[in-house]
Amino acid sequence: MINIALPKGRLGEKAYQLFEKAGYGCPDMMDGSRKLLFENTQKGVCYFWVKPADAAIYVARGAADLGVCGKDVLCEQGLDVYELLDLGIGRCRMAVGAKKDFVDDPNRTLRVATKFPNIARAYYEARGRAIDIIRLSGSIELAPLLNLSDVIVDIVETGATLRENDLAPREWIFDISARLIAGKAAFQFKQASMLPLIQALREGL
Amino acid sequence: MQIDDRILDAQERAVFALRQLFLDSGFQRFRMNKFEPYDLYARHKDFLVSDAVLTFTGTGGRLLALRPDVTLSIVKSYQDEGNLRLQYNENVYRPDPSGGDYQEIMQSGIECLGQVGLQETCQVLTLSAHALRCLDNNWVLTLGHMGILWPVIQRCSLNKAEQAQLMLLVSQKNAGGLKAYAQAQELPRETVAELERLLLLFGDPQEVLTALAESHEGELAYQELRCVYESLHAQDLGPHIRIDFSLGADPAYYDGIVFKGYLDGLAQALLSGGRYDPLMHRLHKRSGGIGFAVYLDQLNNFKQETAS
Repeated sequence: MINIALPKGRLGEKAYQLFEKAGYGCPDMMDGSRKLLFENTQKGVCYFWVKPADAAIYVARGAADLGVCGKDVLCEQGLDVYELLDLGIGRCRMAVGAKKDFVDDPNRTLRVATKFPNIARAYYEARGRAIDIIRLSGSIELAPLLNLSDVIVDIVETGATLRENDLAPREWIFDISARLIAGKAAFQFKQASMLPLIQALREGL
Repeated sequence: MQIDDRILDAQERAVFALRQLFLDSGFQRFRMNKFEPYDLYARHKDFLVSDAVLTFTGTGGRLLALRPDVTLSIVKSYQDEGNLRLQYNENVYRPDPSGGDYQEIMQSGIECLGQVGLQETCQVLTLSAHALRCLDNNWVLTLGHMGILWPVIQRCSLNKAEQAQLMLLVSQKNAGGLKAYAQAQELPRETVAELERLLLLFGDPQEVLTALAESHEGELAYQELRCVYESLHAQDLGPHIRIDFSLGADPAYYDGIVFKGYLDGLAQALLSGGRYDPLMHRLHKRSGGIGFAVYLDQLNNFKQETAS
């Protein structure tokens, strides 16, 4: 049996549709049931929904063999997993945003509000810029408006939220999409059953 | 006094089983100091799993460290005095990868120093397979070879950081990321195609070796990998062996065969090893070296009964 961690929400539902299209569906997956585990014994797969930020942890810790996870979460957590496929869904970008009229003063430590402290730290470290990270859990766009931070490092999908709040993306850090990940140990033992699934997914993209 | 071995936990039982196994194979016990001068680790940071080393000031004012690694200490003490076969069972101190504080990790392992030829390599690989087998019946030993992967990366004429980025993408089996990176860096198309091929070449050793024979048959690395597999296969260990070129290591320290061992039910590799001649040379030794370590801390979470 291959255990697969899918992120709850729209991204996970889209990801599940890819598995279904590949011939690995599970009939009661999308009927709003309160079940936690969904098995298709004939195909040898078992799905479960997890918080999007947790999918890679389930895989890295061996509770799931495969998982679907955003590139943002993968980069932030830096876990030791295989990144087998770009599923091409949930496309957006990691960006630095600021108030439209913000002018960076290199003499000052830059205050950066973000949900992604590791990504922000690595990005500015590579540029030799001193920063002060303000770790927030949500509503990141509020930070520059209330002078809590100078800039934000966050996900930008269409840019509408930034525009509506008089903010603008200033630098693009990297492209994001959902990835199929696998546990390194699980992959050694379940290769024979995983490979046809991965191949079917690849062909469906 | 007789000791009832039922009082031992999984980790303690493994320590004794491995010690006996290594001793029966001619590997003598090596005891070392718990502390090393910090300088040893500062100069070889890339060899360590993490940069973070637990340090303190010794009575003479010298900066000392709680050992994060055993191999460096053994290689440092080796004086090119011929062939040495050593085994150890020591604690190492490393930061918790999930962001917590330092952890004390129990390691058992062996090092084979001196003239390391095919015979010694096969012996060490056989011993690593036996070590896994004595911990559980359901195990896999995965082999890679720096002599096959690294020359391809070297052909890309990249700087050290860029080479490390390529190695990371290969170790993640990230074919998409590799393509995007190659495009951004304008890497030669043929080299990228070869890297992609290596990245996707894994699994059954016979199939991998056959696929590789066409392009690599004349190479020493290929010959070594084939001989090691055949030697393991001849001992009925073949069904547990995989070949996977995404198994890389830092080329500044490793240049030959590299390997990892897994038990079904553990999320990470329990055993890790390789041929480390470049490390020997960095510590001014003329001889070669190969060895492996078993990370015993993981066994505490291993629910299954041990086979032995």
